[in-house]
Amino acid sequence: MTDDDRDLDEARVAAYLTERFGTGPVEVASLRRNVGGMSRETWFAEVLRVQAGEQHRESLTFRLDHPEGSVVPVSLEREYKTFRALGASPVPVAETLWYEDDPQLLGRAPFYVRRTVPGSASAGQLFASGNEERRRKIGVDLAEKLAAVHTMDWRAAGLAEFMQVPERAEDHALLELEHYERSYRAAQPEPMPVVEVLFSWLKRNVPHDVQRTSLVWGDVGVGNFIYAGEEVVALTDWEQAHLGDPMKDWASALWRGVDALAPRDMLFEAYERASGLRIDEDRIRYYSVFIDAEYVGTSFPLLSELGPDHTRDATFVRLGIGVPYMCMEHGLRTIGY
Amino acid sequence: MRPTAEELLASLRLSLNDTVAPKVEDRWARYVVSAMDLVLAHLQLRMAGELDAMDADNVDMSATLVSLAGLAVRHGEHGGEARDRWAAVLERIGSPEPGGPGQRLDDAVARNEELRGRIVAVLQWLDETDPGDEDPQLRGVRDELHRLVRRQVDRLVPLVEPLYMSFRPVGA
Repeated sequence: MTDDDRDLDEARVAAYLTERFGTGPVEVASLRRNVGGMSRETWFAEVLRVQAGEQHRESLTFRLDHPEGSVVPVSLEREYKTFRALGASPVPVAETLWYEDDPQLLGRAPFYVRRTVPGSASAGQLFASGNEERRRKIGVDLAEKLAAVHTMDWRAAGLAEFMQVPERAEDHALLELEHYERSYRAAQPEPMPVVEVLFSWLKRNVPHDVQRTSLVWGDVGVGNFIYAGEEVVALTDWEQAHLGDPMKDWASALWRGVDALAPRDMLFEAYERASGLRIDEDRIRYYSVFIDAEYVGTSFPLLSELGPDHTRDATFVRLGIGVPYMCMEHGLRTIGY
Repeated sequence: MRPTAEELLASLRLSLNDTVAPKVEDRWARYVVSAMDLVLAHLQLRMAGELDAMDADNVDMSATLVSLAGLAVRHGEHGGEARDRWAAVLERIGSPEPGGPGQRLDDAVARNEELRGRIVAVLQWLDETDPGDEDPQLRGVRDELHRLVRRQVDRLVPLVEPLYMSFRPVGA
């Protein structure tokens, strides 16, 4: 595969959209790859199309796996289905348009297209000086949106049709843990005692009760939601979503530093008020180690893709070393070593 | 040969950061350049410290396994069920030799992976034998291995830290 093959081609994107919209020629004004979020590729397209004699500008997002595959052991189709299922729920997400598995369309497949939600995901803007009050409001709104995720009717939304439903309390953690451990072992990484310690601790300390079986967003943090003004207008990055313990999302949120938006107590209070669920800090600590193991499970296998006969670019080397070793250290410290 | 490998890496980083990076306009390409620089920074540390870290790690793992083997022999002398249990541990430990500093990095790395494999085997045996963490003797073994793992992580952190990827909001 050449460098050109790796990129999306504007002409092919225009031809594809012309056929899909079916309203006349579509022109691609810009097409750029998103920086950040390494699980898959995200491309933003600004397009112009004519409908009923009037020109419309559309902002679209293309999601596709890296040519070598996804970093997360979750199919792109499942991510698309999650977005689509949430479209009719109280959880704000971008509108999905099409899922495609024909490589003839863009030269790469599968991929899916969704509308780009107007707003920003930028941490830089949010943490600019003078934005303190705005950050607090967005933090509280994020906590309330998280409550909406955790209290939504996932059966009615059809999520149980493609997500495993935990039957026992322990399954809320163990189903996902098995999934990531399997992915880790399938890559046949070098022997890592510290990873064994984390997986083992998570099994030996698995929670035996759960407040509620919820949709778990799976990757909660600044950069993974769109804000406009003082409001969170869309939640993104659903590739690690599953049915489980809502406290896992709080572990993810704190692991990724959402308490830099607003004081932790303020976030917890807004969440408890909106959800009727209780914050359980011991459970959050458990899932904090879980997040470490999950990131090890997704990132460390990348290093197995470098060898005498094959390689990957420096961004994956950085991801494959920088994330798992950081998580190993953090996880070990959290369990008391 | 001169310049040293470390000096050559420093030269590459200089070119990348002072000449190439300022001229790269595409945001994704800038991100790749930044990753390249961090990998080079990691290489500088690794070339300077990997052999020492591997040697220290190998000595530490060998000593821990030898000590654990001694413990297994003592406990196994009680006979019966204890003998079988501790024989299983000895099987996973193998015949660890007291470690010493290696001459070549390749050898030290190979030895390191081999010893780590033995530690992993013992940890997995602990999970199979005492999944509930109820046996005080085995809990002691687990604690000893966890302390070893802490020391291992502490040895590696200085080499990999430049590549750490914070997920916390930039500017927070």
